Amino acid sequence: MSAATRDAGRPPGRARRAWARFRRDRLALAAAVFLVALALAGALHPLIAPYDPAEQETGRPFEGPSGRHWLGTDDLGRDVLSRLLEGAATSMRFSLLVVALALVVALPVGLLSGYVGGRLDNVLMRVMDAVMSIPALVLAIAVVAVLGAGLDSAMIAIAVAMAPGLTRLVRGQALAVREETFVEASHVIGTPAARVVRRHLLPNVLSPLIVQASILLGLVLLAEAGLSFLGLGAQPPTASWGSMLQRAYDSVLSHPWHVLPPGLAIALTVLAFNAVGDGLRAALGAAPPVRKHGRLGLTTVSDRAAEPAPDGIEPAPDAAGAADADGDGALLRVAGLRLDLATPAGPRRVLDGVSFSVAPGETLGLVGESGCGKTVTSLAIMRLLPSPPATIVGGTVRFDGRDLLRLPFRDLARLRGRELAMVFQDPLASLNPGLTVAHQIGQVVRWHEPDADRRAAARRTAEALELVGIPAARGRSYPHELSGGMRQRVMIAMALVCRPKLLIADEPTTALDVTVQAQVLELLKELRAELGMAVLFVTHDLGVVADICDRVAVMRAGRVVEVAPVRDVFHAPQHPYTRHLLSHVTAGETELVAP
Amino acid sequence: MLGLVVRRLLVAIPMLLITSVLIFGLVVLIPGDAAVTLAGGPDAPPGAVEEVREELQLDEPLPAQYLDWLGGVVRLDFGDSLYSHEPITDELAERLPVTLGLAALVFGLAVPVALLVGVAGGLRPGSLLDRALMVGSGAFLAVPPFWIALVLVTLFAVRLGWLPPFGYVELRADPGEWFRRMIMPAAALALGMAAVLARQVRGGLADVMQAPYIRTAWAKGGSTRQVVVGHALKGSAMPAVTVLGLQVGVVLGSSVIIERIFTIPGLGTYLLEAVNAQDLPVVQGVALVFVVIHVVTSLLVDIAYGWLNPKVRAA
Amino acid sequence: MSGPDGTNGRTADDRAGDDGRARDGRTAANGRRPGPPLLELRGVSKRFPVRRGVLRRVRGHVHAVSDVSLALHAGETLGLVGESGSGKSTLGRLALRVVDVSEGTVRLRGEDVTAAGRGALRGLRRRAQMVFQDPYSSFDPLLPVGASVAEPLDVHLDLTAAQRTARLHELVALVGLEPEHLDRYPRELSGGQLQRLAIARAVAADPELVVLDEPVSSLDVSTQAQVIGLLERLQRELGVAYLFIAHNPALVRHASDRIAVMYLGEIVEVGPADEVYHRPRHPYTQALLSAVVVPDPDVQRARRRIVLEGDIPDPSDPPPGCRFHTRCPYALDVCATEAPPAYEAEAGTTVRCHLHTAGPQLAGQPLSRKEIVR
Repeated sequence: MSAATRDAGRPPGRARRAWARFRRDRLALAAAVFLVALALAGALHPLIAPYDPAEQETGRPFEGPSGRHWLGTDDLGRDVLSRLLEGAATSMRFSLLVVALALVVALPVGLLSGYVGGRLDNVLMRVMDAVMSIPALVLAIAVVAVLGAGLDSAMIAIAVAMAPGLTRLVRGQALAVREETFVEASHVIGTPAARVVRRHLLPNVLSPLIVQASILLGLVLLAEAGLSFLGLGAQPPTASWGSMLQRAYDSVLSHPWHVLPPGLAIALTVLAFNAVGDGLRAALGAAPPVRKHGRLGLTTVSDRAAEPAPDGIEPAPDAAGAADADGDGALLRVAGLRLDLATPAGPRRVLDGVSFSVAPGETLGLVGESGCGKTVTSLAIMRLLPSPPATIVGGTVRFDGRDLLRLPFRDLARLRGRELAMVFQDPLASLNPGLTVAHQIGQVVRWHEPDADRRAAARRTAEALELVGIPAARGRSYPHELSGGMRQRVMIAMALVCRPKLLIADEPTTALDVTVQAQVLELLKELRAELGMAVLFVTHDLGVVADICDRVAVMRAGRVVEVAPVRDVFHAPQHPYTRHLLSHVTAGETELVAP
Repeated sequence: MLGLVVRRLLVAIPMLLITSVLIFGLVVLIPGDAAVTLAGGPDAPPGAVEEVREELQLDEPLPAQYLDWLGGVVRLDFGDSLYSHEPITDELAERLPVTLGLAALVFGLAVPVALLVGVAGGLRPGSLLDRALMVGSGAFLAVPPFWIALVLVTLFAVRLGWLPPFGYVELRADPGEWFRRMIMPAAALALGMAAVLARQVRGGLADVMQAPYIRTAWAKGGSTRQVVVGHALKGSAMPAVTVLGLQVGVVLGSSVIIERIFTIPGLGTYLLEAVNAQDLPVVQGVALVFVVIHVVTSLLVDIAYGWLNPKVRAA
Repeated sequence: MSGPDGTNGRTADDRAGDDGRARDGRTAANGRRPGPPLLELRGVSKRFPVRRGVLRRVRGHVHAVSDVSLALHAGETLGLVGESGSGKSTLGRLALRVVDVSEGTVRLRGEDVTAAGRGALRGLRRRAQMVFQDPYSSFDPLLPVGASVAEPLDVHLDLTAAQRTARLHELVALVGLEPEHLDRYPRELSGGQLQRLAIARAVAADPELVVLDEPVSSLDVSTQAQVIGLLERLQRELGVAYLFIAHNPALVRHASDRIAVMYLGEIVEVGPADEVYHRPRHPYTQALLSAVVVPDPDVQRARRRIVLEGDIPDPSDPPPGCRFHTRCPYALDVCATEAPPAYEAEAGTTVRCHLHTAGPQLAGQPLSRKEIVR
């Protein structure tokens, strides 16, 4: 075994990178510093506290803050600050021990349950559910009732109450990781189960567990305070924030001010635990927070976009498309479209002067490899990219005489779904899982034609379904009850129910099987002929282009490099990149010449 | 839908059985001779010890004790209190509506507030409003409800004198007065719950607003109201509903402390009285009632979840 | 047990040279080879129980794979084509015993894999490997990819640190990458690079068989071609056999010696690649091939498409008789009642279709003369 050398010389690991991100989160860092300081102060309280926390009559009862007693004295004349510091020790030790105890149970049991699964998992989880069905504090009180009041019984009680939730978390995570391909890969390699658990499962379970543990520390602290408040936790003379609150509560009518110090101490500490938890969650995954927001459901067009581009520079990057965009009588004319995506490193130019046009009734293929900007272009036309991160920084999109980039939301929404409609790549994700498909199709009618009553909408929905070859009765189905091909037909029905002039289809057959793709392509061809609509067909598949497109715009790195009729693109490609794309057509594809 | 209800009920029954074993099992944890401990310790009069032994049948083997206890419980007979010698069932029946009333008021306060705050933040995650709301709810997450209660009492009862500091009036006797006396305890419990729930709604909505099907709804030409109300809210409600179920347990637990602060004669005060008197049968009875409340609400939550998610309904 | 033991860090060159596993050329691929096949499946079925209700009682079975018999020879590539729900991925996993068979036997070099105990299974794991569809999820996101590529070495070979490093460097070179790539994390690499590394991991411990489960489906067109090229080169150099699973027949066409077509858990047709492509004998194969789009507008628009009606039936309730009869444009009465036998057609192809035994002969007739049913 060469375990010692295995990871030698690898770059900064996960912990390092997480720490680097955590460090930049000021709130979380401050909270962590506060907690460490609090724990230290608690641990060192015999040395640094101004008085012995148990010493009575260090001053008069209920003194206010003063130079001698910074936070005043309690009902017995004890120094509140000194008692708070002792309370910090009590509460921190208690929380850490309880969470450690809960982890000792949760980690092995959760991993076992999640990895082994089956009957064992079933039994373990039933027991955990049963424990969880007893409200945690009630369980703790009941256990304390039997074991007798005191911190030790409270500790056991709360650990028992907290462990099931944590176990469920570990188990759920382990279950999810077990389904990952890389675990299956280990299985195929023949890696022993113990090694898979140690090397793959455990580290992948750890991140959410650390986050949860930090949140749990706060919850345990609250529970301890509650039990001590009821006199079931810390026993006199030991100071705990909960028991201090209880004493303050006894005299709340006469000296209300005294509930503040222990209460604030609890709140601040729990707040700090939560902030550290949130910071860890962000550091261990999750996206950076966004600040500025545009309008919901509308890509922001920056003010600069309205300014005319400096002469002579604008069309240059995209001469091929620009020439096309000059065409007269076009239904859709995209010219010099530029779009930025905000990234942590600053804005990144994703579309860099995209130009092309679509004539009425024509099908234009927008092709290119992943990352070339073809999908972004299709979404930018309808301004469907969320802002942030997207901002359109230049160009025009003229549709039927209107510039979509200058249209207010209300006017654009009236065009969307009615005059220009869209079909997306993943029909399952693109349909609302909680509504029947008929309801979702009918919505388009109801939204655009407020005069249409329910019955009219239902009739139009049924027609649209029949149009795409689905019996109207299937409209009562939910998306998950339909096959992939059916779902995409539903999407098409939804797009066409108002008879749009332009259909934007973004990789509509990519997620489908070969024979289902054939069905959908045939359907689109038929409907195109029947309804006379234009189609902007976004795809990476040159075969699909050859099948359905009249003209083709080839995109690369945010620009259109070539626009030409479909035969010319395949037989006489002008741009080197087009030739490059065609060169990768495998022999297997062209050999399928048979009939 | 009916199938879902039946299935969930069938799952709940074995779970209640396991829970009843756990709760009954508390008796095993009693250090030393249970009868002596429960009768009040080594100094207890021998007669009392024997009485306890008799009452709880502590001489019987454990399984027999359990079955006997369970047999009573299913007939809604929780036995007699060791302390007052009154039937526990009667006391529970009197106190259950009090606690349920409090819980209902808590939900009535927390859910609308949480929805409002969660939606406001979730539509614009990271915005100034969102961050302010999240800081606010974060604070309420960290503050123990009983402290909020103390602050409320100080403010509204002691300083302003608007509300009575404690005490209970039956809802039937005087609804207005009931509300005046319950509003502070309910608010103390509701703030924390609303904070948790609001964060969940906010997170759920922020996620859902990124979902492809929301993009579809925009593409269909929906207005903001149509898209948010018609599509996003339902989707974001699912995780919130799950959390709502979990919060029930938290609220029930905290209600014990709150009832004590406001001297509300509910299940919580009964539990605490029993703890102080080492009245084990009462502790077991109350704990079991809490569990049943919890399980029933979880059931309702599951059904709500099924209503929101057709996939669960069918599975 | 055959295969080399404990040979540390052997290079690809000595590998191809010794034992009988070096390729004897594609010419032999079309005919039956002498000797036992490398991988042999006999009457293999897999049923997954469908559990429903509170008690999770078994309420039926998904017939993922039904009575499949197949042979794969050393150094050969068998393309396994089918659409979603055809059971092709399950079949690949049955061959490696990642999933246990319900019925039938799987033999690797004559050794019964289905009955293998723990020790024998370990040997199997070393000799048969797999490459998965999604390159990103096939690597542990928390480990540098080098650790994942080295996993077979760590598990199966007892290498010194120096040997291990040398072998790793050799492997990355083999798949056209640099040693520095080993230190990267999965999300820092492209899909194509990761798939190369996944291939390196699969061949790390010198397997005889690699199951490729849609290895290029999630890659860009240009990357697809490169990865397929890499796979072909490795086969020439290492003499490894591939079971190449794909949903698109065009993808496996060039790389495969033979092709098997699956529909709803059954192999409906198997034969030399040229035969299956140019003279498809099963109506489903014909429909499937006709559905493939050809990247040439003149050719594509001249082709006639057989558009199948409806969807693939529910595999937990497959139709009786021939499983394709519900969607078959040529279905006869007998198709609805009797399962067609495996018929050995000419040119080394086997087809399961009543038209070849009971009905009018289909083989060899060009599709264009047939009635196109919509």
